[in-house]
Amino acid sequence: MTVAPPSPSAAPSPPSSAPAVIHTVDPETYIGPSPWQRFTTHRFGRWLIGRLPLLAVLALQIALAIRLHNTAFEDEALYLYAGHHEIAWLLHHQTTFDNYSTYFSGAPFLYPILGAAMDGRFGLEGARALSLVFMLGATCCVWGVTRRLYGRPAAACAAALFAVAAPTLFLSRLATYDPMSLFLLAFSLWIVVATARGVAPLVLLAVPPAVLAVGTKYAGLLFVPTIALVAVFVGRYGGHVKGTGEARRRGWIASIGRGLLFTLAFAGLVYGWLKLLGPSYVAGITSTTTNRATGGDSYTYILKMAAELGAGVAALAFAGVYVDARLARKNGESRAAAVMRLLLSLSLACTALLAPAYQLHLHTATSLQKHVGFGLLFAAPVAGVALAALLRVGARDPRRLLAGLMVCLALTWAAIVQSTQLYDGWPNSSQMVTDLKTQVRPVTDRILAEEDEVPRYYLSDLTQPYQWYSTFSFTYTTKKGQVLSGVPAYQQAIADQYFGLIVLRFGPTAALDNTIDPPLLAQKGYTLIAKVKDSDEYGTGYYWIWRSDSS
Amino acid sequence: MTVLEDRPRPKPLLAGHQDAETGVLPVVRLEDPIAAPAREVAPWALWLSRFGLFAVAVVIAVERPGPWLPAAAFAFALGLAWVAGWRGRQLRNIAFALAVFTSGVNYLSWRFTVIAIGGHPLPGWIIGIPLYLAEMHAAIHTMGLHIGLWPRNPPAEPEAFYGRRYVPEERRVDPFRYPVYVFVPTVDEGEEVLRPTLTGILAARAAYLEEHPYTDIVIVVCDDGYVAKKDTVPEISALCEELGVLHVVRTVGGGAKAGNINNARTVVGAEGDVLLCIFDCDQVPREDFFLKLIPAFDDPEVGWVQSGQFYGNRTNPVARWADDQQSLFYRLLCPGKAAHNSAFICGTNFLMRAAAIDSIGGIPTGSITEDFAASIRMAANWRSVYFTGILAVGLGPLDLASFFKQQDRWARGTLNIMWDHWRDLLLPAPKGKKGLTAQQRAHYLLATTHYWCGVRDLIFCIAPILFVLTGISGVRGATATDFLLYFVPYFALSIAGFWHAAWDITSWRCIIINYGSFPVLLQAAFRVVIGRKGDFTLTPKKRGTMSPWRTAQLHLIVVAGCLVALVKLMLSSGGTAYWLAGFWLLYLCMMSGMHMILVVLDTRQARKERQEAALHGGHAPAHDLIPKPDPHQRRHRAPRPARAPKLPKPRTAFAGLVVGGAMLFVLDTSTLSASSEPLHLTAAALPAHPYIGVGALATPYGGTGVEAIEKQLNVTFGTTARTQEIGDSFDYGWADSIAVNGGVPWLTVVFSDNGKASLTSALTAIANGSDDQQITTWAQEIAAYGKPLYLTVLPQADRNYSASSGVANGGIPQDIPRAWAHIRELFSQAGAHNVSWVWTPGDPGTDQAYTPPASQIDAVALTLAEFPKTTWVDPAKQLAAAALRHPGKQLLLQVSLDGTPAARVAWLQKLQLAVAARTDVAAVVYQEAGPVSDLTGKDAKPWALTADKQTVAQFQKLATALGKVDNR
Repeated sequence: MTVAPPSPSAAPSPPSSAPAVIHTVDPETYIGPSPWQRFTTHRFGRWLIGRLPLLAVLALQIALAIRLHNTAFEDEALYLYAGHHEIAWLLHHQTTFDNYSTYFSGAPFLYPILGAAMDGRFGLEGARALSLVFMLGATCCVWGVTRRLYGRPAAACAAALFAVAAPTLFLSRLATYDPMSLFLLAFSLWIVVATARGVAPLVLLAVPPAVLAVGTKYAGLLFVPTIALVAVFVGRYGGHVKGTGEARRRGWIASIGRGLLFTLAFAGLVYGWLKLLGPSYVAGITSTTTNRATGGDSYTYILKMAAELGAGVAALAFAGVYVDARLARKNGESRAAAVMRLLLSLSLACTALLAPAYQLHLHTATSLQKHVGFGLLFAAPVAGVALAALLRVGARDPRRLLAGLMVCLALTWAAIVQSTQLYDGWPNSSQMVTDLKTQVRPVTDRILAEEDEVPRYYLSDLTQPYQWYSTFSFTYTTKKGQVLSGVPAYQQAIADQYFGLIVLRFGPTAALDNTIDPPLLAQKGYTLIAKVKDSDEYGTGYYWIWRSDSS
Repeated sequence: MTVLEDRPRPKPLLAGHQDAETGVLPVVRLEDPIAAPAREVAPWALWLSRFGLFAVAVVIAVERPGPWLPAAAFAFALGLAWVAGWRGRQLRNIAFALAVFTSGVNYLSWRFTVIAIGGHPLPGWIIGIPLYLAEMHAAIHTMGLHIGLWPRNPPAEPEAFYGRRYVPEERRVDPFRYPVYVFVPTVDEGEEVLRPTLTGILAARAAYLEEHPYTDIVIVVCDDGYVAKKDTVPEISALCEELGVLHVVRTVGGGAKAGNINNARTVVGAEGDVLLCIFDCDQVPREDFFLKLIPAFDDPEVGWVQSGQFYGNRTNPVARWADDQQSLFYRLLCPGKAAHNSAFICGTNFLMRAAAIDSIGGIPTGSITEDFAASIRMAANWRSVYFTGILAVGLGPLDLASFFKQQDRWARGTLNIMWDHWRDLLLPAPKGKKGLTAQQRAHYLLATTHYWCGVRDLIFCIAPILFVLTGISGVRGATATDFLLYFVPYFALSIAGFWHAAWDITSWRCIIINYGSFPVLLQAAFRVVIGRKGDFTLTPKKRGTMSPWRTAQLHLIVVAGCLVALVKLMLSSGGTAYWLAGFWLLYLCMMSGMHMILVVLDTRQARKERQEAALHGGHAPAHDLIPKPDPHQRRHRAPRPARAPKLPKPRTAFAGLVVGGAMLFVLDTSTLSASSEPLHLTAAALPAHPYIGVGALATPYGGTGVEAIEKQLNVTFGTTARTQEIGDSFDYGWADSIAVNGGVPWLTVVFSDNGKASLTSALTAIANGSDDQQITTWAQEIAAYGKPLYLTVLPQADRNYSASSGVANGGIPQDIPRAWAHIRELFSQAGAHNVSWVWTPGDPGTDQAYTPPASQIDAVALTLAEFPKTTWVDPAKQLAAAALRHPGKQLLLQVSLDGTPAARVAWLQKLQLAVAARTDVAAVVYQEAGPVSDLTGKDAKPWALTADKQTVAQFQKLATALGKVDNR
């Protein structure tokens, strides 16, 4: 082992035979800004970039919605079919064969006509595209409302939460009243918030969409008080403070007056409308909405369903109420202002509970999946506040980002699964309709079909409304002139081979089907021509199609 | 005023919430993480993110929501991270990380459900389970890459510390007071290699001492030449003396490189409050090496600071490819690991606190990757820091053999560490001892399991070859749709995520060389499994004599196996699974083929070096060491250089033209038949003389089939009657063979499927449009044919045996006109105006209840099938009755006879007279198989014309006689 002494001399230059070491390389020559940099400095670029999150959310909503596929739902078939007849009545004064206003839960001359027009031009997908457009519009309104109330980051979060909620995705692909009504409510809410800085009468602009929303679907009425409350609470702000751009404050009386103005105008318009339309509409509203027959669904079932569909966003909304209240305190707001903010956030968040509460009162889960979506429209802005706080906007905190993303991912996963389940909730009738189409005969055939709305809609160009009979109610006059109704009527009609075709699936009217099917199963006078597999939320079953031997 | 006007936006009504004055969302320029304390993370956020990640993984694994969730995750991450203030590459990394994570878990979960277990001749699990484990390894490491890429606060400078944190003033120490001991271990590298290194270190020392003159840097060359029995010690000693550095020579071995350094430390007394620096003897530091790295030791908890290891001899192909592999590690993975306090010592170009290494009893000598082993043991108590940027440049492997030797050492070392330290990585720390954090465990586990990729790649090679050649599959029950839903999103996102992260940091070469190393990694894994650690082996600094092709033996075997399997695949048709296997075989061929490029390049380089050496008297000249430029510097330059628009290169443009033109041609030709519709189509007029023909033939109609019968009968046919099912397609060849003689083909289309009626055969079905698609296809094909044609649809609709009956199967007579009209409507829409519509009832004399309106019929056909032992009808009466019932219509006859030759001759004579007496008969067709449906069966034989010679002769006379009948 040898140790040589170190030399303090400076580093000698390497001999010429050694390789040179080149550590750095000159940067490339700068030849101007990139196209992206140019784009971001242009005003259109800035305008667009500011809305990129909204565009991304809308794209996501479209992508997640259009993956849902099924044949027409019973309600879709009914409303579109009715819409075609309403159009025929308006244009050619042809009979509608039915007084839809007495049992429809929305005015038959509003959405059904719009839906049917789209259906007539582009088919069922066209009508569903219209619903998608309405729901995209609702998402834009959520963005607009939240942006004006709570700022842009919260708006992006709110729009995202609303867009990917299961009821939103479901309604985006459902050609019924609900998307249109929901959009109109959202639009009304947006006007209320957008006109907050202006003079009080501007709030009247929000009344026509609110009235139309309620007319489109009577259940929309449940959510109008929230809009009125928001009109009061945001009415506390008016104009801009010069220099800071912040909102000036109005007095309580002024803001309550604003709310009253909205409420009175709304009530007046609705009253006038009902007077104009007549008692059949009042009967319709009473039977389908305000005095709806109570159902037999248990509290647990309704609560579970409501929680599955909306608990995530609702929980975030209540968290948002807390976040906003904390911000108010942090911002040095007065007690009154803080209370007002709390009330505003609370009224929005609590609206998420309205539909489940009303349905609990009625003991029915029917359409809950759609009504929860209405509540989410109001809760989403406050939920956006919570999510933005969770993400710690602007701070670029990777852990908070991951936490926020995981919450979103969980909600999205739930929405994807639930919307698929909801959309598979009714049987795919494609093969049944295909088989039935091979057999129906225009004008003369009589067809008994369980949930006849669907085949009737699909075969509307081949059959007339009077050819269809459902298993929900039926009156039959025998050859001897005896008038029967209910089960005996069905039994006698089958014995007389009154129906040319019979379609049973042992679904909603399984009890009746089981009572009337013995002669069919015994092939007495009828031949089973097809047994078509179907599956819905309750499991797998079959459509049984019988043809009369006398046809 | 437009909405686009760039005016100040009103603030939110409710004050206190985040917003921006203009259209752009708020972007907060964060403070330098070293200059300011990090923002506090609440424990709930930490646990919510961890629990959320775990819960989401479990839920995805259980539910397998398909490709929509990764898509949503990507969109969500992009949108929300944007909102939260992330931009650019980090924003995209977040989106990719989340999408890769969701699609990866989704895929692995689905893949688990389709592992082959049973099977024949060998149970599927033999390949099924290894293949699944291999895929899991790949997926976990792909996700691991994204863990490292998960964003952290970007450093303010292009060259920056990762993992360094803010230290409060009161805890800060003066890093420049520490004496530094620089160790350069060597064995047999010689002066040529060592001189530049020592000169570089001396220059760096000079630069450092100029700024911090009150400290000292001691340079020590640790020479193991005597231990290795090499003869380089004297020349190194002379060099050290010349340069004025310490030279420590060991005579007693042990502990390889670690033992050498430990020994030198003891000799020079590098212990206590000092910093240790280690350079491999081929790593030449930059002047500011010490100036840049030592400041990180102002944090008393920092144990070591590592900087990258880059190769400067990139003119050598192997070094260039290896440097790309190094770049992936040092420029992409190491910063990520360091940000999670999980960097590890990489053996050279680093500074370490002597106290840190002494806390674990010195550099471990039990491992051949002593640096990594030391890192794991120190990490619980000391912080690690990584410095990006090029602070030293070294020599990369000079040939493939050296590269593989280096890979083998690293693989054995890291795999052994997993063996030795699994308790530290997987189990909780013993009571009273500080254990590794979750991030450290994750990163170290990923590092120690990386080298199983050799085994993984072998399984990936074997699986498709085995499947194609033997049918033994590792996957059971998977459909092509499943692959599309689960595999494709995962694969596409992984590839896209990797390339996005690695863009301008590394190249495709790193992927290839990694794959190319699999034989040596396989060998290393085998040696570790059987418990043979092996010796510390130096990477040679001179080219060896072995041919590079010897390193590629296993690759050649893989390519050969793939080619054999591909040939088998092409010879025997298989299902989708085989095509998927084919895709993998091609992929493997491509990967192996690209590795061969490196082998070829290395071979050429060897030849070039030999030639250069010969020119320079046996010694090749030294080349400058120029590392690949640091991409981080490019990324941090504020104004990014824009690329001037360039026209495509001529070759690219030519290829585009050829491919585009070919695609247009294919598209164009695919629509030719549809667009070649003749402008003026006419239906068949009543011919001057009735056509004679045959029908119900057992021989093929197309090609020479009809011609053969014409020759046999010595009659030229004016028509041929043919029955086809609705699912068939129009036979242009058959129709043209008749039209070419001036005749008109007679086609009957029945709505049955293989002779059986179904629901869609019903008249109501036809009328209601259930068969529209098929009818329209026929109509388009017949319109494209363009010449006159007799067409019968709904034959015998007034009989209960008809497929589309108006008297059975739910049909009623009123359905017939509806169905007929509907078919005609579709033909009309398709422009098939060349059709003469032939109404063919069972009895055209009494068909009032069934017949379509006269305006919709062009001709009426009589079907006269006479059975033996029955009274045969009088053809004249039948023709007269039909003509009376359908005045003005052309009459077509299809006849068939089963009886004695005499009876058949007599009846044909009657027919001849009956037709001769009329001027409205368009055709007489003899049905060769009669009414029998099985045209080739023995029941059909008695009906054939050729059953007896007399009938043939009479038929010839009939043909001649019909030629003399004048219809005008």
